[in-house]
Amino acid sequence: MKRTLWEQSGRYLLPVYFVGVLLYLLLPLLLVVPMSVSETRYLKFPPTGFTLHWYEDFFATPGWIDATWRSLVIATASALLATVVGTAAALVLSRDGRAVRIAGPIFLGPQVVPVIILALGTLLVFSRFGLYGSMGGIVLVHAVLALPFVTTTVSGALRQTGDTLARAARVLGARPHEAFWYVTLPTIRPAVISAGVFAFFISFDELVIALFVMGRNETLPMRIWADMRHDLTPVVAAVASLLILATFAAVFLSDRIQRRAARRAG
Amino acid sequence: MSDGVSMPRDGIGAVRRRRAPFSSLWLLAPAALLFLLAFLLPVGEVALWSLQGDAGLTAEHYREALGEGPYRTILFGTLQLAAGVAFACILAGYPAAYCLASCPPRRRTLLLLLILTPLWVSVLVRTFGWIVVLGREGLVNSMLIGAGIIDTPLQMLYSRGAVYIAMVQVLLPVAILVMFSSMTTINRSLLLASRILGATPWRGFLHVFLPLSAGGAVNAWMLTFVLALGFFITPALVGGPKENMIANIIATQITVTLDWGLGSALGMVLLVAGFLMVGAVALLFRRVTRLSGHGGTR
Repeated sequence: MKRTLWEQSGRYLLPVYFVGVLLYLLLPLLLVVPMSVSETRYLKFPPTGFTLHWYEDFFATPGWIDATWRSLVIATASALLATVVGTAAALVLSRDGRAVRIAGPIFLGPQVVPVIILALGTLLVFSRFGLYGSMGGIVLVHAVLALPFVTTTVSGALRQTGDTLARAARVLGARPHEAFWYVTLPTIRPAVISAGVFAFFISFDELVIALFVMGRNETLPMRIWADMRHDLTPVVAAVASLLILATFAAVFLSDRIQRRAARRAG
Repeated sequence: MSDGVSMPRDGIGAVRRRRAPFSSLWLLAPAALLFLLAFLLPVGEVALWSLQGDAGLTAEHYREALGEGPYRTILFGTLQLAAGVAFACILAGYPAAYCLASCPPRRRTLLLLLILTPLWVSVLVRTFGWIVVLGREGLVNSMLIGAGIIDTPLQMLYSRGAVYIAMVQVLLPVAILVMFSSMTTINRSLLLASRILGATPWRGFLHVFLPLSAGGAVNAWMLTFVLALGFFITPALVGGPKENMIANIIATQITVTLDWGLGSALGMVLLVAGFLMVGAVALLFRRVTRLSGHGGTR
């Protein structure tokens, strides 16, 4: 009867374990939200009372708002850059086997080199060229971080749709950019959009490089970092809750977009 | 759209001669340029600084980084911690990936989404979540005190255990994703065949599924290991002074002591040590699979 025992326990144990993993991954995030409306000045569980005071604090403090704007600008610019450049590269990488063999592993570089080294190198380069604290410089570095992600997502979508339609358009006389704009882009738009959204978050959440090179031009993660290291006010909980909600919304929206596109295609 | 469509000037033949609509290598140029400016240049600059002394080239920084002393200890500590965290990730992630891979497709999409969502939340925010859970008046302490198990709160933050828990949580989705995608390529009828040939489910798993999915687990280990090596935020926020990783030391060298040469040498040592370890594991795995004859089962 040993066999059925294993089978039985496997049928229940595994899903229970899976739920445990989900709780481990998600619970610490979900707990942040109730903490952000607690009335106590320090972190205390369970939260007591209900107040939006910490959110008010966030929106009323110029330091927080400036940092948020700076991060929004940097993240938008680097997401646009990474998406355009990465999509162009994906057009080649999804078709040209030789280009993939050469460029594929190289483009993965930013993902396997510890970010601290890139941060250090960025500081050295920035200080050599007088870019310390500049937004333009960090936009480039953040775009490089997002680049592998954009190329893999978009070339995956390109490989899935194939290039028959684009070829047909070319045979019918469309110039390459027209074939791309009117034929290829509409079919891969969901992938491009979700790559762009995630490129945005890669930059928006990035702390280590910013910490090294931005100096007094604080970004939002730098501001959170400073607060967490020093006095850990509940404002951090409020900001963290806003970030969690924004991220969850973006993930589910881009999933919806991709799924709707898949349904239309299928 | 009549303006966009015109007959090709050079006829059908010329179009057919082109291999693909967008095969021009020029499309790679912007990516290559960005990569050169914002990745190769910085990493090269680190290599340069690590070798630069007051008078020309020097190995002095490397001697300081690798010689007997605090840096070598921290380097070994970092490698050890990263290896341990990566190992914990594949151990904890393997059953979850297995569960995902054997799910019906509809439910699988949702579960995968739930696993991957935390990946997009800032590491800062995720670490903050652990401060809420493990803090002096956090979830665990208040539950233990409420249940009457302890009287005074446990000191859980600022310890090696807290670093482990928080780092595994950050990296677990990556490990699960890598192992899950390798498991989906396994041909399930092999398992069925083993059952028909009389193997128990457990034995079938051990002798068929496990060897076939081992490659994915090794890949997951390598990726999470390399990512863990560079961790900076989590050890600084939930670890004690003894949990300083090499990344934290580099940060100190750069921002406090202003010893950029030493910081660069430490960075290069971290990079090379990481690659050596990944290379060694990959080689070892190839040897083992060739010896036991599992590698070519598929």
